[in-house]
Amino acid sequence: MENEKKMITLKSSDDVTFEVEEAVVLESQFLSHLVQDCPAPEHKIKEVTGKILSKVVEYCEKHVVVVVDGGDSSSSSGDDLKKWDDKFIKEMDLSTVYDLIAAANYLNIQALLDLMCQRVADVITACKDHKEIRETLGIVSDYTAEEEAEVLKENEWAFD
Amino acid sequence: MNPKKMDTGSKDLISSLPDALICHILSFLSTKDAALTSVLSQRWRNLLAFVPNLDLDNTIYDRPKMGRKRRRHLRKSFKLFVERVMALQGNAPLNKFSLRCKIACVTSPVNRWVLNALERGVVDLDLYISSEHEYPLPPQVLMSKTLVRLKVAGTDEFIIDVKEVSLPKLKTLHMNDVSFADESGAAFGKLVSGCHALEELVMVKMYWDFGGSCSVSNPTLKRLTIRTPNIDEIPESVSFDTPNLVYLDFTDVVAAKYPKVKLDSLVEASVGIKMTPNQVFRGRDLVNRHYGYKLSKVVNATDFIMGISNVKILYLSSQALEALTFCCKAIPVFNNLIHLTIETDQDVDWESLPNLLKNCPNLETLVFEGLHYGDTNQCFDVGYRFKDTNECFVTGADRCVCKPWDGIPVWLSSSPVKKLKVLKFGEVTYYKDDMDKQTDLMNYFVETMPNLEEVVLYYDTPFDSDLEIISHGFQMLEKVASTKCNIQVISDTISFSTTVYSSASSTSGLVFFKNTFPV
Repeated sequence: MENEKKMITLKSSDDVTFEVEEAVVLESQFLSHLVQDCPAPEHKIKEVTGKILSKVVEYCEKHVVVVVDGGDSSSSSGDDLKKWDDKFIKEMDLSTVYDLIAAANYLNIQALLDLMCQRVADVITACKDHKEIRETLGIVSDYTAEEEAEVLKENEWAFD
Repeated sequence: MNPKKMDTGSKDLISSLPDALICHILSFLSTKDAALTSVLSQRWRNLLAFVPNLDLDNTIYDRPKMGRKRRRHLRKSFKLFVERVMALQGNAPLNKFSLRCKIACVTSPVNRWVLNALERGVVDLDLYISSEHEYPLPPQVLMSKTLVRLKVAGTDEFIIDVKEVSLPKLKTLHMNDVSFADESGAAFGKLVSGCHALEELVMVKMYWDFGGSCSVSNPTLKRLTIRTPNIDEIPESVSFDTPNLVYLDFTDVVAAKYPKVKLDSLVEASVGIKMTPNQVFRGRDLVNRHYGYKLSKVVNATDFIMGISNVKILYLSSQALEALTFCCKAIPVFNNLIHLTIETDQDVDWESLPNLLKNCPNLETLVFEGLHYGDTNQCFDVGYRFKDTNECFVTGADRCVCKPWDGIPVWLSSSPVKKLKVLKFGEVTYYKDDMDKQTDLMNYFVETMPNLEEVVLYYDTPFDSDLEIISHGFQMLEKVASTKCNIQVISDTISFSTTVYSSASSTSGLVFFKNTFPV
């Protein structure tokens, strides 16, 4: 039937399953090709864990473009969506953000990828200097003192 | 349990991402912040090489406290940085190149940088160049096959000399405070008609129609903003041949003529056409001396106004309201107009308003930005006060009782307007302004307009009681024209709502909501 929504099951690397509408899957370029090319009811995504896949599904379900002839009430408006996005990323630790960046890249969900990269960019912008960035992102410098001085000089413009 | 769920502390997890994704993160940073990351570790040192967006700004050193030597040093380090990044990036495709630059000497490398960006197929070019000497835009910019967005801004020494134009992909063009080598309008016309995919054009603080006849002619253009500075020069002729234009924001001195105004698709217009300061002075002077309103013989906005009469949404500046009085022979019928906003001014009278509103048969929402109007008989001016025709202090009135209209005009008593909004209600900017005048006018609207369903006053006052007084005032009205009208008085912190009915006895009580309308 036309009205019956087609459901698709996604299985994570650690065998957690998610049953979602086809429209939700279409948010991902990778999955929409997969679904088209191989019309199986269940798809295993080896590269993504259940924890991360649940976040991806949550995001796509919210962002799915609902085409309902109802008009205004159908899809979330731009403002609401932005608020939802803000809340979505606020509750997330950086390690989840990195995993989502990798997952969004793999599944080819551009908007999610951009949202997560923006989040990391915001974290970097909020730091007052490179030492704080190192601390926040947990990066250990492998420069020698001379090398570091040289790089600092090259980028002096950015350090004012 | 997922092991990754454990607290990762300060473990370097970001480095597990491939370079391409880290570069994607860097592309969300300003180039300045992205450059900072070069110092994090060896791996980050040259990642900037793969970031497709560059925004470079050397105007940040123009802080007054900074010493001359330090400034010169930083300029030099800026230059070195740009050169290094350019070398690092080689021929990699560039998406966005944004450069804010102060040029001190003619041998500046800016040209070379811009050309480098163009060669790498830049899509989005944003140039702000402030120069004390003439700085011509490299002509290659106007010949780019890849540019989709072009923004040029700076000072009037930043010159665009339009020789050859071929910008087949350009959709957005912004020009702010730069100059055309040829100010007659020909250069502008050539530039605009040479962009075959142009959808948005913004041109502010520029002289584009100096003495010549000029035309905005482009079949793909959808949004157009032109705002020129105040000058005493009158444009000879201005034309619009933009059949697909949907939005027009136009502030310019009224031209002598508008031979062609083709705006068939226009939905929304913001009109700020204005007379020269000289014309304004002469016009008002004649009115004040009771010689009346005289149409200008030199300029004529009739054809322009006719050309925009299909709009649904219209904003008129107070200057435009005045220009309608003096430069427009007849006001056309605005059959599609449903939303009209009028900016008011204490020096501009409402002479043209009745004719305009009479010709808006389907108007639903009327918005006033401020509720001021100029008194035409100068009741505060000692020189004119005792003229015979002056009736503003009759029978011992302690204040001017001038109203913008006498009696009850038909266009108000048959007005289709359902929603009336006043922004900046209660704003008193000048000695001629008077709170009572504004309240009287509001009462008058509610008493006269038969289809009003909703009135909203945005009243910015530190005293909540002011709102209550205004709101109460409406309940005291003896006459209300519409069957049922809800009136809200709103400030930042509080709002009052009251409903009035045509039979005065059934006026509802005052309801107030605290903080329900964060405006």
